[in-house]
Amino acid sequence: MKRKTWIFLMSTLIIFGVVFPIIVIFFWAFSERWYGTSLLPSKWGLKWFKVLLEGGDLGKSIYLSFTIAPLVVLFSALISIPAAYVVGTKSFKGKRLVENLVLIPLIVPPIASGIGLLSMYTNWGMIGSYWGVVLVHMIGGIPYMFRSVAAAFESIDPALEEASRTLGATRLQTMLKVYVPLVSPGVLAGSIFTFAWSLNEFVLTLLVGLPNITTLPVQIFHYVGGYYIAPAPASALSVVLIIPSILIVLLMERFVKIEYTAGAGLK
Amino acid sequence: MPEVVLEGIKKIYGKKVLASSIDYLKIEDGEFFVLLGPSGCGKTTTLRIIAGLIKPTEGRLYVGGKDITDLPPEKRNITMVFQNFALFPHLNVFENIAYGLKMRKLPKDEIETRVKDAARLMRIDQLLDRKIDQLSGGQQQRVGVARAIAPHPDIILFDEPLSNLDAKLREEVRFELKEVHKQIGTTSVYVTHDQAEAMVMADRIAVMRAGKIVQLGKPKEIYFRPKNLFVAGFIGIMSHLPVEVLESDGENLKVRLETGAVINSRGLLSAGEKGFMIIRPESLEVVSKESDDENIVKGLLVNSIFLGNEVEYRIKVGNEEIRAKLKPHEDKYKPGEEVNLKIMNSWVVKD
Ligand SMILES: Nc1ncnc2c1ncn2[C@@H]1O[C@H](COP(=O)(O)OP(=O)(O)OP(=O)(O)O)[C@@H](O)[C@H]1O
Ligand SMILES: [Mg+2]
Repeated sequence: MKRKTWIFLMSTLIIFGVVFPIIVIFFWAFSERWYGTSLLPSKWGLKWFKVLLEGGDLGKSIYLSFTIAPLVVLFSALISIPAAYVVGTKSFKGKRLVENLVLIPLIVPPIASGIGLLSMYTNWGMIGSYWGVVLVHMIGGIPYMFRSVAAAFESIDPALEEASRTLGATRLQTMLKVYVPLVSPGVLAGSIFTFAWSLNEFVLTLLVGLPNITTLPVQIFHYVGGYYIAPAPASALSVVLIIPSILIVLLMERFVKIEYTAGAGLK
Repeated sequence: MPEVVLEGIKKIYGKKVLASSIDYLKIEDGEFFVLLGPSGCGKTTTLRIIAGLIKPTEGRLYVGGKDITDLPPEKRNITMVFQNFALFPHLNVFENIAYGLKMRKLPKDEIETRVKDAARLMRIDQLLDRKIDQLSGGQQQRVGVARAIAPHPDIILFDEPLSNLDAKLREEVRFELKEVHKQIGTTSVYVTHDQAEAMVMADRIAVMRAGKIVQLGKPKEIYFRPKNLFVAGFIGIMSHLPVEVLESDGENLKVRLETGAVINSRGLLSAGEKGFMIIRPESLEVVSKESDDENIVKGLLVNSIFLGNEVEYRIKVGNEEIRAKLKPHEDKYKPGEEVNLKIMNSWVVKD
């Protein structure tokens, strides 16, 4: 097959698997009446958003999702940046082990680790606690943050530190004048991934966050995963979840070099 | 005055890798000093010890009589030029050169003057606004040098600064650096494994091997009076023949080759000792068979290689093959012919 065919195939899959569903979600969210027989909703409007707002569900979910995610980013960064500095700039025994260890949360299915966490959290009395969910999100967020930042540190020529020192800069000044500016794109990329991860995390949040911590994905699930299916309110919530994701993709296009985003994935 | 003294300096990696071991070395104020040696002989290690980037396992280091062994690099006023340039990619040319000046907290106009002076000296004053990735390799290294001279350091260290440039540019920048050194007169320690570079630039050369200095001297001394075969082989092309010393008078020697020929040579051996006679290709002459000059050896012309401005002969003498360089108009012999070689200049070493 020609190269173009593959690209066509891939694009088609993405359009069918992602773009179409998103369009359908937008239709549901902004429809006030939509009969299964017609292609388009027969009445557009913000009814579902109002219903959700009045019920308090939307406000609460937005508040939870959009305060937890920045906290997860912040704490993951605080832990990952120093670790990434060491792994990215020094060589030591067991370095590969550390690098692989950090990837474990990305590989182990959350449903499996979630069951274990559930019993641990129960013992500690942390079920349904806000900070418990932040902690659980960090486990998944740290690998993204760490990989991006470590890749950024790795891409810095170690001679730069030596140049800086011989030119009269102390260790701390070298940190601020050389490492900070050169690593910040990696931190930004890591933050975006971690933010997106936290926003989308569902399984672990459901397991350890119930009944109080109903982030957007959990709330959506309530409308479609229970005894009855309510696609319209679920879609309205999804829209709230999707818009920041789209913004993130655009932001990355604009600001982040591809090397750093590659660092966040599995190598 | 900032002369550098290394005293009993040793750097040992792990338990037994002796990366650098220098009993005593004094680099004079204003000198252009070259550390020369093959890969892995400890040039970089020694240089980085002077910079303060590596702590020596043992020994003391003095600059201008002051013990600086325990000072961190930023307190030493010693700058460095790197093989891979090591320019700050997030700063432009001006900011790169100004980096060391800002660290010294100089006033703004002073920084500007010094950056411009250094840039003019390195002929990059048109490039001050450029980003680093918009520069050629040669321009980048000029920025690297300007950045190292702008803070007016006591010493500048160069770690193979030209080895990432192509051959032609390397030769050009070589002379430029020498010129710049003449103008600023800063004590410089220059590491290279390129003997031609060392010859051109050095006031003195230290030839290193396995962490130690094998020979220290002016370029001519190292070339014409090498201490052993290693130094002779590292500096320029040479051939050598095993000899036995018959007579020794000061540095004048009479030696016998394995072929039986007796030759007047020079060296530091005494009568009865065995050694090797080092012959540079340009100190050989092919003479006519009838010649009854002294210092003649017979050999068999094995191969002749035309190099353009000269011709190289490979000649078998006894069991050894030696190389001679001739002017093209002297190239009158055919491979397989027997030739008479006149050894005009030679030097005998023990090992
Ligand atoms: N961090 C290190 N750990 C262990 N051994 C090292 C280390 N750095 C250097 N060495 C060893 O010390 C010796 C000297 O190294 P050095 O880099 O000084 O050599 P060099 O003369 O600069 O060589 P080159 O011309 O290849 O740059 C080498 O045998 C090297 O393998
Ligand atoms: Mg080196």
